Amino acid sequence: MNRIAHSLLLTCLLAAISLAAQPSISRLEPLGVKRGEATKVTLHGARLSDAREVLTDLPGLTITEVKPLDNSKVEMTVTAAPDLVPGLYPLQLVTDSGISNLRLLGVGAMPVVAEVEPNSEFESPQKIELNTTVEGVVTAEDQDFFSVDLKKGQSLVVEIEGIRLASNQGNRFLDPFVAILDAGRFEKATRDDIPLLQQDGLCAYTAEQDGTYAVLVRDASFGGSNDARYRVHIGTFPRPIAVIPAGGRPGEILTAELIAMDGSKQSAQIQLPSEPADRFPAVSEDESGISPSPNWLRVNDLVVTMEQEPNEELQKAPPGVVPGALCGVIGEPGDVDYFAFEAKKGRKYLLQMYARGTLRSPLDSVVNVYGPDSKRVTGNDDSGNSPDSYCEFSAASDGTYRIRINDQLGNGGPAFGYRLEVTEAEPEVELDLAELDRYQAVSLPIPRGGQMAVMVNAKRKQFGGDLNIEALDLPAGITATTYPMRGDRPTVPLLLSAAEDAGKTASLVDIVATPAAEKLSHVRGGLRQNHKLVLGQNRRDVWNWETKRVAVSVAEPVPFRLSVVNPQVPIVRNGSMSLLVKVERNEGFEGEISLKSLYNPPGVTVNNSRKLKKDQTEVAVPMTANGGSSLGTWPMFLIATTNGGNGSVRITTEPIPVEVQEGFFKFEFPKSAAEQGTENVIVIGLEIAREFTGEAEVELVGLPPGVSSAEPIQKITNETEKVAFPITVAADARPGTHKTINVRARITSDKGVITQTQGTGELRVDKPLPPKKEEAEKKEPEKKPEAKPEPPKERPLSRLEQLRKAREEG
Amino acid sequence: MIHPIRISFSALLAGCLAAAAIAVEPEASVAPPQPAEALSIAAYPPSIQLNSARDFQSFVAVLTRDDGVTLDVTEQIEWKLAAEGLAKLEGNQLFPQADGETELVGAYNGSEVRIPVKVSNATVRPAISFKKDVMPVLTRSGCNTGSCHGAARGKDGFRLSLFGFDPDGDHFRVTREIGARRINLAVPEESLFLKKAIGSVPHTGGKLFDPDSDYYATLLEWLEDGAPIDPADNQPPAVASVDFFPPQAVLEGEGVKQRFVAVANYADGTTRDVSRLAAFTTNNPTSTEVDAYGGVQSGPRGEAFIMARFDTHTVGSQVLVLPEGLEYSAPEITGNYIDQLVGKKLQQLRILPSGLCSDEEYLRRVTLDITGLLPTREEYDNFMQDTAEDKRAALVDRLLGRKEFSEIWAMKFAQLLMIKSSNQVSYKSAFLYANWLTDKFARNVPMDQMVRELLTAEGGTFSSPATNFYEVERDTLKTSENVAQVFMGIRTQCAQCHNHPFDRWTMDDYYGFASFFCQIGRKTAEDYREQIVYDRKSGDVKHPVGGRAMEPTFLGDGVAETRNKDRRAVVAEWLTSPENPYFSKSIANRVWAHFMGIGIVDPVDDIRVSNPASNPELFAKLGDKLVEYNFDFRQLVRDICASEAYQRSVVTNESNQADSRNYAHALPRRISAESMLDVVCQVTNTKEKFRGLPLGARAVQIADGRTSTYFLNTFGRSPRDTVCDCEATTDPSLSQALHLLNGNSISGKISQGKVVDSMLKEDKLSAEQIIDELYVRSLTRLPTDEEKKQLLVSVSEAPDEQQGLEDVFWAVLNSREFVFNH
Repeated sequence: MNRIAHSLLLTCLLAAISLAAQPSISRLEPLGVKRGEATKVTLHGARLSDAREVLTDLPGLTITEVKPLDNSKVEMTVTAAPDLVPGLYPLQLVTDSGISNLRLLGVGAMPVVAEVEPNSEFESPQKIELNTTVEGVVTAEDQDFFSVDLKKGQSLVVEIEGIRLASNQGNRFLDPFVAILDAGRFEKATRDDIPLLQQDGLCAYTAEQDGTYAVLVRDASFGGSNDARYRVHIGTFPRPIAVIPAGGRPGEILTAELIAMDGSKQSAQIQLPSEPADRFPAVSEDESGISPSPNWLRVNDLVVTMEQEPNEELQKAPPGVVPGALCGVIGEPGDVDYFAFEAKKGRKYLLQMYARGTLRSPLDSVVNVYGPDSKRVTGNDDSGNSPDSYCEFSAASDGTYRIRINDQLGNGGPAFGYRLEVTEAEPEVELDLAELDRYQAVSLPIPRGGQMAVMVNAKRKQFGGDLNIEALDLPAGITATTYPMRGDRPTVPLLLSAAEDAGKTASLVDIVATPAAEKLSHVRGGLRQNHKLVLGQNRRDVWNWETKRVAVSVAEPVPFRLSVVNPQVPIVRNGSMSLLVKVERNEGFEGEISLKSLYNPPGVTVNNSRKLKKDQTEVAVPMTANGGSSLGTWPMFLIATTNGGNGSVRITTEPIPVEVQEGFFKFEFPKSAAEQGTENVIVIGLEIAREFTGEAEVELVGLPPGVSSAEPIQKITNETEKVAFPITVAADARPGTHKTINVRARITSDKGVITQTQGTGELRVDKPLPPKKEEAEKKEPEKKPEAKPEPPKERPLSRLEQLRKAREEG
Repeated sequence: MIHPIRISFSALLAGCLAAAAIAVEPEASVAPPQPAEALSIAAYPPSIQLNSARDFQSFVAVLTRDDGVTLDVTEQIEWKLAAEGLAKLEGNQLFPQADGETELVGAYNGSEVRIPVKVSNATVRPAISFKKDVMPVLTRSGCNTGSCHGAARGKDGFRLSLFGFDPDGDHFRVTREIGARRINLAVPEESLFLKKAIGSVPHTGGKLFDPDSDYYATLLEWLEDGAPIDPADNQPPAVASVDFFPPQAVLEGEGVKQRFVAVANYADGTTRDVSRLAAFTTNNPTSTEVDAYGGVQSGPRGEAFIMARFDTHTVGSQVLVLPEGLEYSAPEITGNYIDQLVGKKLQQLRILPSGLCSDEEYLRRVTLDITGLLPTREEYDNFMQDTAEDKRAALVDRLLGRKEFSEIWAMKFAQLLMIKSSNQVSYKSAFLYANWLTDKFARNVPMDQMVRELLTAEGGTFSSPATNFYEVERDTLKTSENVAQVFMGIRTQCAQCHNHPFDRWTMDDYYGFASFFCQIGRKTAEDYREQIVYDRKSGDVKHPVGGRAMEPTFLGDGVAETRNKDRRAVVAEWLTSPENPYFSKSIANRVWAHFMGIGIVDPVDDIRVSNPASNPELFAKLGDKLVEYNFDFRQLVRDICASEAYQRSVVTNESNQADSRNYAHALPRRISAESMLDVVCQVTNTKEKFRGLPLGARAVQIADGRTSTYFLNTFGRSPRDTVCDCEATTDPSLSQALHLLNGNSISGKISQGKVVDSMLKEDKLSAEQIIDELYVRSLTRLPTDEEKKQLLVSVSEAPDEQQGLEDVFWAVLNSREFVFNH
């Protein structure tokens, strides 16, 4: 256990170290603001002294007066629009040298007060007004009590934002528990986790009599720390836990039912946005208040079919429109919903459930599809890491297919809403960026006059082929160099360069991909970046936030210039090569520059531990290509990192065109044998796969200890078929079979050296046979005299041949 | 004074022998009463069946004296058959001659016993069956024990299945495994198989029987027949049950003999005398010696259980050995139903119970047992000044109402359910699971309901914490073993690999029961720390011999109907039903053991035929009561605490000092680790800090079994690694004593708690008063005059009064009286 704990600790430390490169924000103070009011917010973190602006991903926040207080604090003024939907708003801080991690700012409609200790005893709660947001902290095993006065019949709702505010404490996190207690300390309502809010809690209680009630906040298992901060919303606001149906078509006014925590329903009209949205926030507002966080809806062009009870029987399944969204509720325990639709033979249908995903419904869906013959075609319980189901099938015949939806545990209730999107397979593409630092979403500060590359990964669905990548909305002064992504590759570099005279600009950049094929020109895919805000043990994902753009800024220049001598010769399969990197340092800069490759062509490995020390001006970075490496010319990049004074800074080199070619030679290794204290010849067969120009030589390497060759390097021509290396086996050479023999072929021309290596041959070193004995006379003495004289002759015999010969002659 | 014994003894015997008496002879009950001694004779078996020319049956007659002592009078009785020509009498054995029905009549001293005899197929000599005849000889001769050929890899190149769980495999290995080596069908006498057994060739196991024995004859005849295996369509009948006679014997003096007879009842209704085939053992070799054929000879005073094992069945009879000429006058039995049954047993054993304990002792004992804490000064005063008749019962009621009671039991079950965090079970899961359990006890949820909820739990380990039962142990077989052990007190582990050698459980039982738990599905919830447990509705357990899928089978109670049902729900329903023969008794026994220091069956989770209850009637009665109370065991606790058995003093008398199993006196018990720490904190007025609990939380409230302290480990806290009740130990040890003496627990807490300091400075008490206070606080009694005198001297000799008094406090806490519940 100890060992495990240690390794975990180590992981955390490593993570911390890798984070140390960029400016980072660990928390906001306060954690949230009231909309419509200008609030001073302090960002706490590290390497913040050169902060200059804040990027926000969602509209509605106005941030002004960003000013560093010291290297670990930045103050800013935040004004949220008075009609901004309450909830969480991501922001990233841009400094002169980098861009921080993403943090969430809470925006609410109620006044914010801070927790005041002592409030850890039921008897001594902190008195607050109804409809207040309290910001507090759960220290180790701490309990916080807040008291409010309620009139009989008044409903008290408590919603906490704990984990959602990303109080990351290494591999632990605040997992809040909330409760409403009456004056007699009886728990009237409690909640640990609720699917709607993940690990955050939500509970409600309608007062049975006038009185003072207490709200309790603690960690679910009495954890807590000085970083376990939360915002708890205590008030009479509406807080639906489900909206049914949870989505509609762009621009329409959705008539939906809002489900309250007690299961009661209320009808509502929701104006949907004119553009499709994967997650559209809908908040509920009435005279008693506004819900502190939204319910999420899906807005797209699919036609909605609402379930119509009764629909519990396969044969009586009511029809639904497909392609379309099938919406409904698993209304009670054991409930099952069926839908029927007409499928066309040969078409491929995709069924994606949205229940826990987006809607945050308690439903743990199971989806099954039955064909026209009522036989099950396909089905799914969970997919990916989500309890939501996903399945696809190609219709084997025209006819009525039926879909069955139920809860895996047979649970059900008014809030168990779902939206099953059934679509026909269409080409799609989705992009993300390969992490440069582990567990950290990419952001790209580009040093002025330098460039930085990042790998763009693409997921193509229902099509293949080349993709064109494009970067949109780049900050002024930054240009992008893109490369087409080959059809057989899921990834390609994107290079951003900042002009020497670029200003202090920054923006969130869209990256899009379009298939190169003409007929797919309507397909267009964008970026999804997953910001891992809370990680658990073993760095497992607990809470994350998705954005569709990447932060790019112009940063201060790095104190050196890097150039790479572009190789003039290819690297061949089974070959190796070195990249020569040269550095020009600015006056006075003596820092160490470490080099690693951003991206290797498939099958190519680069030594990532090369460094340029202060007195070095160049270094060779070796790389090798294996026998299966992909042929072609690839842009390669090396990342150079150095300490920029306040955290590390990095750039990539200009693209290095590396060509991978087929090898020139095929060597054939015989199995050789030699006795201690003798001389022998190792003959290696050679096939010239393709003709070379220039001089070529072959070197024998990897001889076992005690074995040497007088001429380990032999010249070859395009006609050579065999290369023979004389060897001398010392009397004390280690006996046994040595499988270490390699040949290294070099083709030298004025452009450079092409190296190809091949292994492995086998050399067996034998001990001389012992002096003959009486009994062993019959066979062995004959063998010996024959075996001995042979080796020095032209063609050495393999061991098998030796034995054969021995038998013939004997 | 002799009178009461006679009454109770005849009542007991009437109960024990009821079956026999009815079956044996109507005449016995109408026999003219003996003028001087009321004698009763019983003969066994109650009826004799002879089913083939091979069959025979031995019998035995027992005379019961009016003082309950039994005599084996088989030899003294004159036996004859009512109708001649049907069977032949040889000694105490009967052999068939011709078909028909008659009676075996025995005459003794004017009275008569009769055994009905039925002979059928008297001339039919069935062929030797491998399973029915050969296997029992191998088992009886010890060939297939673990130390011989039954070992996992066999012995000396020959392997048999352990205790014969795989007869078909054994047949293969005897006849086919090594060509013609083991058997020689041409010259059967020359078979190695036989020659080894009679020791005519070297055999590591030595000589097992003589060539002229019936065992040899059986094997030889089988070989002469061609060593056949039983045809698949004509399998021999299975053994349905085994009877063992007489059911009880009370032997007076050493060297007295009693013969026992074992009879197997087959599924086809036939019977067989297996006295020469069964294995006989005793659980008390000092008091009783048993020979290879069921003959018992008495030794020194004691109680024993003689067992016979045949096939997969183990049966037993109780044998009491009393000293010769013991003078004993039985006291009157008073008290509740518990005392009636305890008293009856004590009379049987001629043991005198100790007297009742004092009020002070009772207060301390019952408070510790029910709440795990000591009575406070105030509670002491109230109780001592209370003059009400039923003040002890009222005290029990008050204590049962306290939450500490539920916490103690939640902790006990948390240990049995192995609640602790691990790689599978997150701290939060363990915490919620322990809270769930505590909540069940606090809300007085009946045990059956709680167990049903636990076994059928479904959903997330956070949202439905009882599901952690299936997360703490994820292995199907272990889960089923744990269920059997925790809720029925049955250990089935042996039967995983072979039929249980000391109990009735076979591999079929084991895998049949395991298949209730093989359809549990698990998946990770959204929160990676949470697992979802659900009914997978598919999956089987395969029998390791043959690989057939096992049908879910209740332990000892037939196949279950589980189609379209959650198998766990079916087994939970069966387990917790009032008719279940194990559940209520096992739970009641655990409760009893907590209060009495030793279970009626002990260990409490090892209920098996060969570990019989010390008082079977009480064992059954407590189980019945628990059912009657709808599984609310608070009520049972009331009964136990109200019994005289519980209230007895620890002081022993001459007759009961050697006895620990019959509740003739109270057993001093070391306080359990968690309670010990809580009590130390309580008397020293200090607080402990445990992970995940607020400062001052008590050790019994620890949710996660991984949380511990040096103190708790030293005092034998349960590591919660297995479901065994034995994990928490209360054995005193040197390190415990040294820890209390030298460690910082006692001295540190004394100075930290400032108890003496505040008595001196705030309450302004005198040294004498403080000594009184410390005694009451720690030992629930006032010091004796002698103690006080000596302590005052030592206080006066100390450098200052406070230190002297703190030394007194330290000494009190280091006394054995403090560490024990007595």
